Amino acid sequence: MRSSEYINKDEVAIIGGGPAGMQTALVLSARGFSVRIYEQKEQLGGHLKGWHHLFPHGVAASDLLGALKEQVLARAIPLHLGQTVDHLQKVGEGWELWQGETVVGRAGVVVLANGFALFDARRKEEYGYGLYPSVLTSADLEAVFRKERPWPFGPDCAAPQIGFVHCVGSRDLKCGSPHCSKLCCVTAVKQAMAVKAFFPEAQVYCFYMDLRMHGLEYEELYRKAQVDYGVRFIRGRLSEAAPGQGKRLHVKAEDTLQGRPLHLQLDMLVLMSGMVPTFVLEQQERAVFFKEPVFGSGFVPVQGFLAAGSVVQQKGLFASGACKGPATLPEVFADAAAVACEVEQYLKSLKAVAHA
Amino acid sequence: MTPLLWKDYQKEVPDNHYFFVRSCIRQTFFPGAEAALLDILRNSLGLDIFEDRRHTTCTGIAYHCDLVPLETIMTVIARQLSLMTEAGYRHLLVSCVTSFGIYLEMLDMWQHHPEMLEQTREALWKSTRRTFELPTALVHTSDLIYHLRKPIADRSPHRLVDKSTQRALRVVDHVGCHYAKIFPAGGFGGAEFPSVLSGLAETFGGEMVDYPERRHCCGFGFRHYMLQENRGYSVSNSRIKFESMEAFAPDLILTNCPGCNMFLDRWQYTLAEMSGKTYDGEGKGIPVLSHEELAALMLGRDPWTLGLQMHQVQLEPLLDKIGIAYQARQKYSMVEGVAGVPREPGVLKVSFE
Amino acid sequence: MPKPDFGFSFAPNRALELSVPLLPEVQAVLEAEPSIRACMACGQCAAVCTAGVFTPLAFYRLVLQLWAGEVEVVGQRAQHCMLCGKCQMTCPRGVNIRNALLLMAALLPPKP
Repeated sequence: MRSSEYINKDEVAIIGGGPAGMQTALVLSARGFSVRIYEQKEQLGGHLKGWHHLFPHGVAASDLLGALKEQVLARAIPLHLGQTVDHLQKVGEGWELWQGETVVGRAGVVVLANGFALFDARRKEEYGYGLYPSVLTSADLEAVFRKERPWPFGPDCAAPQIGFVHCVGSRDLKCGSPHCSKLCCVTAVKQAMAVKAFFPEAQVYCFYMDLRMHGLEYEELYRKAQVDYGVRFIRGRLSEAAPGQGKRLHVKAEDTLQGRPLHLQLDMLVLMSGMVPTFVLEQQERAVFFKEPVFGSGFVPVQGFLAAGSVVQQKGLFASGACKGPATLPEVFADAAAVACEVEQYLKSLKAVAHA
Repeated sequence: MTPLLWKDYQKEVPDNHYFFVRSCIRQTFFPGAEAALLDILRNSLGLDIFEDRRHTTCTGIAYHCDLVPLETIMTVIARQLSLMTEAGYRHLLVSCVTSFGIYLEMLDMWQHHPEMLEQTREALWKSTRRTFELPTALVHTSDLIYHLRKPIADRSPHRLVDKSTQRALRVVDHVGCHYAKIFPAGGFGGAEFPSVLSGLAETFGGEMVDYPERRHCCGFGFRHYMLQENRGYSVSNSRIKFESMEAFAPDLILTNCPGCNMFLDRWQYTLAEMSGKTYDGEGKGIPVLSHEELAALMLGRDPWTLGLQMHQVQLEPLLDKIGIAYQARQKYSMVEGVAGVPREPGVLKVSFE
Repeated sequence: MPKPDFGFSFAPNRALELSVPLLPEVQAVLEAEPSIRACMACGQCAAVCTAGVFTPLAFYRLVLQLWAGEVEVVGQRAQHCMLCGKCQMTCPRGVNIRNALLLMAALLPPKP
């Protein structure tokens, strides 16, 4: 039996180096705790790395990421980049972090900040992602904005016809994702406006079921897209995409406000891929395994209120950010700070018990 | 999570030993299709395909029109299966897409409601003193032709290529709705990516055109066709398909369903008379072939023995493109002697002398 | 040969074809009253509409039909408007509905 003595009870291990992981680490570090970040990729940033600019104000994603990284470096937070953790083992009150047969870290508290995965758009086969080159995901379109991939239509196409499909892999029981992914609505609006900025002659359509503009200034962005950018919003989910004339796609939908089927030829179709879990927790008596999600897997379950960070049934294990469910960046930052406070309370309560 | 991708979905099809059941309407409209199928499977490929002359219609059309109740169709299907069982077969080969859907539906219902299977066994026993086993494989004839497409193509002297220009012929397919839309796992590629016909056409060297209304119903719709005053519904659906495929200038429509075959062929005449329009731009219509007819043509069977003169849209322009020889004078030679040349419709051209 | 009487006929395809460019007269209405673009089809205009109680007038539907290029229907239905202005008072998006309806009503040519 290993002693828990060799674990530093005050040390916090954060799994995931995206916005949630970095922010949790920064708040804990600022409050005097020793933290480490374990990130499976070679770089910090998570999905934020792939964004070009952010809603609602169009701030460059690289500016935000740069500022976050700078703070992480300034605080000299130890980073374990390229380090995957596939399960945790409980030792005394603390945890060992394992990758396969090897212990890669030890900590008194572990914070899961693994974020989300993008819904695999190939699974909505009727939209033809992976079949037709002019079908992109919202993440692919950010890569186009970042000049990491070309536009799917040629330079001769000055007035492209472009469609955005909301709720791809969200609110879809048949895909095993009953939830709303929350940020796709405003992302589609942001991207529609950006496309119009690139191609003023473009005709841009958003196919939505209802627009969930919940955040500050999102609704304003929607109105701006309609009035100033001429983006047309069609209430109805796309039924299918098929090859059309030339290199165009032929898409079908129902205009539910008019009660009529609708056909359209498009040069680019953008699928607003939803957020799905990156892993499911398999909880054992003294271990937690991170397993590949299966159909219908939920996000990390937490105790009590939805905003809480403490993972159900696991003392000393917390969850921060979008691994608990879809969240926008401001929500992730607020949540990360709240989770850091929960972690602090927890560590203090352990100390109080020890002194008693 | 590894997604199930219908595009790559392959159905399991046994290589040999089938009990064959016919379509009740196919032989009326396309009289050579089923004979050609049996000829190819038995004589070209040497397979064991058994047919029992006592088998009947599956009553599917009447069932879908609410004329035959569920208990009745179940018992009829049970009787077909009892013939299969009696002959010692467990692989069922179904000629018609409607029947194919019916067999899938009955098997599915019996699987979920074993008490209905028992009731059916009892009904069949009471009325005929017969018993039956369930098939281990349910295969549509287009499944089998697709499964055997390479050996067929290897034996074929022809290709789906314009002989004079070497251009691959453009093929639009129409897969019958009941082939995979009710039970996607019953068909190659499921309902979204049916490859059973496109794969066949490509094996013969044709170019598949994925036209927008590819998955639209041909308009048969059973009850929508049965009454004359409802037929506008049916012809409107076929028209949507023709309008959609027209832009791609197809050389051929390929189908796997007797009903679709019939409507996509005959409605071209009807629409031409109603609107003055044909969808090939030359007034001759777009030829329609079933999977067996295409396979038989590729294997060098005689077009007139195959019954192609019974099609509404005539096949000579397509035969000429592929380079299939035919005797124009033999076209209307029947067993009883030479039949009269049919009357020329107002719009659609059917003779090319 | 006389045309055969089939006893049935085909129905036109009622699908909207969005790829067709906007009609110039629709374009003109949108340019003359750009606030029409702000309509989000909430239906408040129709809920308060005096004429809508006994005629098929519903402004948000006219906007949808305008986008669909159905200028004749739009022109006809706009005639029902009594210009009372309740819709404009209630519109949460600030659409200048009265002007929009006058422009729509003008889509129908006057009787010679």
